[in-house]
Amino acid sequence: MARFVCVFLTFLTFSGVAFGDEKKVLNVYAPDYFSSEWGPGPIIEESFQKICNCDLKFTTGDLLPRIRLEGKSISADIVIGLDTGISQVAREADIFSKHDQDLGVLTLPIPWHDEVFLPFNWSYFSFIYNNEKLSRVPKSFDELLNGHDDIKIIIQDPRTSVSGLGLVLWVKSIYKDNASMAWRKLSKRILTVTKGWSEAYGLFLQGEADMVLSFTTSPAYHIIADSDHSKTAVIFNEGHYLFVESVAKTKKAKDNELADLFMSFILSESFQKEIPTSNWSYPAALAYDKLPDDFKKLPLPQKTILMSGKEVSKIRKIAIDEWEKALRDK
Amino acid sequence: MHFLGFFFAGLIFFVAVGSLICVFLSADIVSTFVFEDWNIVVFTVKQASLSAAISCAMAIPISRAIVRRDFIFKSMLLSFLGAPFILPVLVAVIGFAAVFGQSGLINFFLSLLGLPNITIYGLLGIILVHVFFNLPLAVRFLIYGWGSIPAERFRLTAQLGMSRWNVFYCVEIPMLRNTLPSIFVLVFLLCLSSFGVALTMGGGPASTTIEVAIYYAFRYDFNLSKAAYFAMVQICLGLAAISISYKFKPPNVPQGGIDRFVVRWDCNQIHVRFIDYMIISLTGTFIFMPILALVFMSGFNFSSLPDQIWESAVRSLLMSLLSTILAMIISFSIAHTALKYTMGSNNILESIGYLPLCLSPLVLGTGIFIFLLPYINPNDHALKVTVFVNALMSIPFVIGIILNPMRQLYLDFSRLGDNLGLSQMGFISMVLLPRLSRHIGFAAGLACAISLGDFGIITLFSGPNTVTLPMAVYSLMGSYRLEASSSAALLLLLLTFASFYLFDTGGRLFARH
Repeated sequence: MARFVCVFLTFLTFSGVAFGDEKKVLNVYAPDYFSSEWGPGPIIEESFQKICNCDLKFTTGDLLPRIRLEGKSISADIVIGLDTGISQVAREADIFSKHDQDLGVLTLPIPWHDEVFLPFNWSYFSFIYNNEKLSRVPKSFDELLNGHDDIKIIIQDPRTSVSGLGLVLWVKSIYKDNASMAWRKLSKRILTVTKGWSEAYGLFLQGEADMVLSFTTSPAYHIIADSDHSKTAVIFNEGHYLFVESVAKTKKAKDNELADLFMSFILSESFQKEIPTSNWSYPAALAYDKLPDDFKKLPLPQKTILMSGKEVSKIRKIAIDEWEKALRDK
Repeated sequence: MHFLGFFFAGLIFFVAVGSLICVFLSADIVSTFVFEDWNIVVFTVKQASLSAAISCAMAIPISRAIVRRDFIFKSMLLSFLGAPFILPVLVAVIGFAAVFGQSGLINFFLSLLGLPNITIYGLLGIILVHVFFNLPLAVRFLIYGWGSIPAERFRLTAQLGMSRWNVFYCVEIPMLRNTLPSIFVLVFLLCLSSFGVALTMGGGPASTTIEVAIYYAFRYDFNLSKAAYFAMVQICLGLAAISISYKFKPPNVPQGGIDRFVVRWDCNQIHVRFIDYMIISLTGTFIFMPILALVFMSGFNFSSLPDQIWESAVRSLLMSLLSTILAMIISFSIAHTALKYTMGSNNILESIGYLPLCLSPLVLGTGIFIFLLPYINPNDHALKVTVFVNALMSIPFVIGIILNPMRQLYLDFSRLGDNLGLSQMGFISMVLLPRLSRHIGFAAGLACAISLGDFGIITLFSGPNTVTLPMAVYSLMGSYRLEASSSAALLLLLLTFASFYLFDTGGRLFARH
């Protein structure tokens, strides 16, 4: 209670106070999770402000609609948190300039040559299960589709969530023209489809389903933060779809030195080594041996799947329609 | 005084229609409605009508049982009935799953008894959660309806030796016909724009609601014209429901009594009592189980909560107080003017008061964003916009609560007031306010709870300094912290409940009735 009163008083005192000195401001648009104290936002802000003598200002929210509504008059210098599912749509808005960074330092599992989107973290989509409860774990997507039908999974809606879209693209990449059939089989395993990752993962942690669509790095959180080793990610023979989050510089900030400094900061070791334990994913430019030990123990897929932005924009609607039809007739 | 009512009604209309037009004008593709879109509309109407019908039907015996019985925890139960309504959807769904889900309590007992498990995901889940949210609200509304029947009526029926069924038919049905339509409409409108519940409990794309379709059109296709179309369909459906409900409403007649304590001679038999207490305990169990599950999951671990949670709690509290005041002023003005200018059943001002509930929050937020963008940076005003929009969203509830009793008060007392030469302000301060006090308290409590629990309208423009408590709860869950998230949710629940309780009991304390 005392703490509550303290915070209340601090809030009343400082809420009206504006920054007095005129530092240069770097406007950064970011997804919602950057606004929380426990996400990567504050770490980025603090360590960047140390080197730039500037004020880094985050605006958080739904990135894609915001970018498209503002269009060329966008007030951001930097947009961070664009994932591979939506990057092509963002690219078509034609508001970004080249990042001019050396891509040689990247440690992604695939070659990356994009001149606009600079990756800063990555992971693989996967299903997470409780290894104390589930014994017959499928070793491949095929086995999940055709094996024991008592396994129940929770997935996310591809129309409202990044991971949901990731799964649709994953299935489409593996099964190509048979994707419809695969979805029809998978629909028997699906307990429910949620709006976002949070609802799905929450329901899973509560024991609602055997598996939940998430990332191969999810168990790291449980191991490092809670020393809980009961969560494991499945590894499928067919390979796993890659999830990459990028940062891009807007055209407005083409000649903005601060923006350039920020882009190189993103790839710096001081920032990259914060990613595993703040974003619970792999850093995009950090040697494998510099990862936290528990991250090194996580299993990695043998094969990486990723569609190019152009392929995604061509196939997205068809793939989602197939998903929708198959689940509708469930 | 009356120009205020017109001004506020105009403002609501302007914001509602304006935001829609803003979204329409920013669309670069014109799209048309296709067959699948109509499927979505049909499903939306189906789940909303079913949820509203079941909530209302169940509310009748429950509120009747509560009204005619006196028990120790009665006033506590009355206050607690506000609790489900104010839970954020994400939190409620988790609590709900703990009881009704695959590994929930119910299934645990079913498997103990060797019975097959139930799966609630699908239409059933949507309706169950909607009923969980809205049934208590409907019960609270109906309890006021029952309270509005003068004690003299029951004395008269007892003297005439009428049976319970005759009492129900002659005394209680007319009251229900008067109150139920507006309750049905409120719940229907709430479920019409259902988003999170439909998406999580629905089980898949077969349960797509209009609001989900709007989100999809907006978020992935960036098809603003389709989003606007859907939003318009939603408004039309809402307005249709409102006007149909007027058709069912009989005209009010004066029914003043002398405020005697209500005694029910018709229901003292032991089996009636037994059934009443049965109904009350079942309702209590249905409503409290998910909340209790949440309380236990969180483990009361407030000390481990990040500082940002406390900051956002303070921010949310201040904001909700402001929007409550705003909502009360606007609704009172509109209700007052609405009564003055039409005493009949079809009332345009009243319909405008319900309009905010027909709006798609997403389209509303986007419209405001598009409207503000050329002039100011919407980010810098995110909190003000949220306060305003939350006030807007509470107005239908406040009007729903105070309009009917206010109309009755005018019918019962305005002639007496005129006789005594009471001025308009005198009538408001000496008759309306004291006699409406408990309704005002309930309405303010609900408005405060709605604003505290709301999140999402500012998804387009926010920043680290505008995080509200519900957003923080969601964000904690989004970073694996289920336990911290349930603690924060419990804090949210406690704060919301405390403010609701203060207003609600405050209103009852000041009541002169």
